[in-house]
Amino acid sequence: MAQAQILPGTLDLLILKAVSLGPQHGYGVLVRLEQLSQGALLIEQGALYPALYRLERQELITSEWGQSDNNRRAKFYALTVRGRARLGEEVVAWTRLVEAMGLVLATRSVPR
Amino acid sequence: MQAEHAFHVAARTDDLRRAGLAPAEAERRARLEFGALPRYEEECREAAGWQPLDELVGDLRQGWRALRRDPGFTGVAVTVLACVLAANLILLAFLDAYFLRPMPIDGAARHVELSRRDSRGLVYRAWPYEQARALADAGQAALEHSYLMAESRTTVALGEPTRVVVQAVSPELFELWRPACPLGRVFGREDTRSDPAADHVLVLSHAGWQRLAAGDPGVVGRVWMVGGLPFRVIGVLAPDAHGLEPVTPHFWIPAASTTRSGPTAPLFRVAGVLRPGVSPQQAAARLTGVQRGFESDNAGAPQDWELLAQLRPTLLRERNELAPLALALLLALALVTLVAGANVTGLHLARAAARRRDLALRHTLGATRARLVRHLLSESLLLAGLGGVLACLIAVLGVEFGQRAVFSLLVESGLLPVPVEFDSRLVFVAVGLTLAFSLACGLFPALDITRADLAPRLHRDGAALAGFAHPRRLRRALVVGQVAFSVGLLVAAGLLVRLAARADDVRLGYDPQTLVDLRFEQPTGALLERLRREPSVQTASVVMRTPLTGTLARLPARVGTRAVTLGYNRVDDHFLDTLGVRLQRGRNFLPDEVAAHAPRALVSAATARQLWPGQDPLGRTLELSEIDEGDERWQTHEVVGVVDDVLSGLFFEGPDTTLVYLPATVPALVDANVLVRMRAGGEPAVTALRRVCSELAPQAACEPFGLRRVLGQQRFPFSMAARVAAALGLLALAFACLGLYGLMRFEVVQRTRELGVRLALGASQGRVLAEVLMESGRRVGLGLALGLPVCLALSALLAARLPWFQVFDGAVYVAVACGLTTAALLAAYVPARAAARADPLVALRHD
Repeated sequence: MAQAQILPGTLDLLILKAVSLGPQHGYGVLVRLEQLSQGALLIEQGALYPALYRLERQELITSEWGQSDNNRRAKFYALTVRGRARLGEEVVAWTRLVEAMGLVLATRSVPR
Repeated sequence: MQAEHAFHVAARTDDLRRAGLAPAEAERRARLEFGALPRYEEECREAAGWQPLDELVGDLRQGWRALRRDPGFTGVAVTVLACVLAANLILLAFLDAYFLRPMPIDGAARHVELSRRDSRGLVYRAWPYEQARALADAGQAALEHSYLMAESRTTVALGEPTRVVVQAVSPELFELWRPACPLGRVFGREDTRSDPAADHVLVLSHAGWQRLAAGDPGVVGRVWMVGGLPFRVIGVLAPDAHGLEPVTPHFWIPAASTTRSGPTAPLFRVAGVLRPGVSPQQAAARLTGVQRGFESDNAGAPQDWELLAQLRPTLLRERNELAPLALALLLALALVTLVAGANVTGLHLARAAARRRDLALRHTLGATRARLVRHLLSESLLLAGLGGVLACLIAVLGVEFGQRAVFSLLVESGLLPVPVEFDSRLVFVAVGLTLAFSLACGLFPALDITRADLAPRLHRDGAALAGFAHPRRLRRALVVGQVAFSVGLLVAAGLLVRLAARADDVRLGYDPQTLVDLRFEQPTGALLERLRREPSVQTASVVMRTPLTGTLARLPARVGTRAVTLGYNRVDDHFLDTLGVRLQRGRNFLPDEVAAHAPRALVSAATARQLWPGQDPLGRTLELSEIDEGDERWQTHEVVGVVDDVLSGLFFEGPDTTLVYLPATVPALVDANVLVRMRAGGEPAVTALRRVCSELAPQAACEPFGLRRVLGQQRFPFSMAARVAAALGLLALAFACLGLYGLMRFEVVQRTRELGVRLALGASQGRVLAEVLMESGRRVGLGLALGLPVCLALSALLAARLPWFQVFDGAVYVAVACGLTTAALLAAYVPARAAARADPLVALRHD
């Protein structure tokens, strides 16, 4: 798929979704998002960690040190109950927004 | 965080390697993609919520560097903080030990003591053994661990007879208190019940063990002669076991082992811990019946007795008497703290004002006001740390020193007061106080300096013209305040010093130099005969009350139809000779009058003037009420002589307003004391007296105590108070002068250009000097104008309550005003001189 710019403010939502599929470390989240969007979303690495720390501070995700696949020590992030709830809310809001945008953009003529 | 990022880069490197790149190339690419870590490390830290901590650490580091660069400011601020905090901590340590710290027992808050009140409202706190025992047993329902306690002084025969303080207690005390007993054991209820002879045991306190047995561990099991009876030592308590009284006894003996009857039988207090849910009133009500069941000694009216139970959770019993003293000290200390606080605040203001450019720059670069205030407060925090540590050190030393000074008199008399300790609880208080004080001093200047619009301060001219009003006015106000508070403290100090000085030239009406109070327990006629035959003794007499030991004893009296209260003393026929006081008119008592306690009296001249003004008192009569427990008898006494006035009460009350002498002697006089007039004073005399006493009664001992020392004991609290007040007053003065010095220096520096212009235009150095001094003089004058009226007002309040304390002492006020002004002007002189001596060219270039 062609590359797309992520809109500001949507990074948090993407991270929550990525982590909701299973605990993962920072690099893994990056890779996962790339895979899920089939290469369309490339996240700037510099923006990832501040977002992760912010979400952790808001208690939407928790972190734990563990072993990665190649036996290195890495910090794994997992979704909390609150995070799951927030994810749900944000998805609903996003869907609504997309529908509304779609309606507006699909209009060919002004309704009478 | 570093580890996490390192892992990220490593993982990316691995992926790239798997994709086919060379290891070095992969790593390089990975790092490049990640970007420079420091670039967004700050963002990460902010997102993770560590920013405030980072800021604080940065501020502290900067503050530390700034403080080191200005050792003058740092030194002064830390010293002021440390001194004032140490003073507060020392006072708190003393207050805690006596007023605040609860007794070392469970349920100290419910500890009560019994007392009884008769129909006249007189309160008695002790009972004979049998009655006390009955009350304690009956009180089991309302009180747990009810116990008996009597304190007395007796002699222990240890080589040389030694006077000791003993507490006779029931075993329940140890059950309640449960002190640590490393050597031997304490006595319990089983001891006395099973073996009556076994109740002659004693338990040593740690201090008593050191004093009497020199710390010998083999002392347990020894038999000592206490008051002529054998007692076996069965235990020694731990060093921190002091008992439930403000004074630690040398040892404890069972209450049951004391004599039950006769004049030496001790009277016992009854105390205990209220059971949960029982109020003091309920406990008292239950026991009133028991009290009324006792046979009254002189057939008084038993049904009029009312039993009271008073709470006593701390060691000190007579809290009401000492509370005003504690309050006065607290007030003085609060004043000093305010002065110090004003001082430190002024210092902070000066520093903040000097940093206005730097602050303005930060503000322009985006720092919020809160951030700037936090930055300025970091210095206060550091000062707090340094000051606090120093304060703790000073306080520890001060408590040690203060204890030795204040209690030296008690220790001299053989009493062992409970030691005051600077314990860990106080360290927490110290930390809290230091932080609070320092932050308070720093907060106001920080808020003040960041309030005005900081931007114009970047301008040079702006700096010279605008924005000085605030700091200057505030600092001036602070200095004036400091001076005003110092006035109050110094006046108080001056008054106390004058009072203490007055003690030195008090006129007694007799010579105390060679007068000795024998302090012998049971004087007999034989003893007096023997004393009078002793060559080094001029004369000796029996008295009920030795002169200068506290206030006069008083009796209600009736003269004709008038009811008065008269001071009185019971003396024998040798008293006038012994005291060395002149008989003005009439005659002395006759020996058989004295032996028979005849209804005669000698009156002092002042008494005669008061009762029979302008008339001859000889041959007149007066009726005296002699109150015994529950019984009141009026006896008519005939006046047979008039004696010169003397001062035999408290020195500051002046000569006795009324004094009546009644004839009495041993053995009929209970509580008799022996007053001895020696031919010469000093050690040989004392040794001779001791020898005579031990000849006559080997197991008793006398403690010859010169009357000069008694007077010294009376004076002691006043000289102590004077010293403490003077110390505090001088401390406040030092702070005020420091504040004034700082302010004048600041103002002179600010006005450098202006003064330079004046000097360049031809003003003489003298004029500039005079002007700066006048400026400072205005501050001092304002401070005096504020402080002196408040002092006078408070003096007026006190004069009513304490008639003997001369509060309107003009010399003190004048001295304080002059002294303060001089000190303040001296403080301002140095910067003034610097200003006057400034080179106009240099001054004009100053910015």
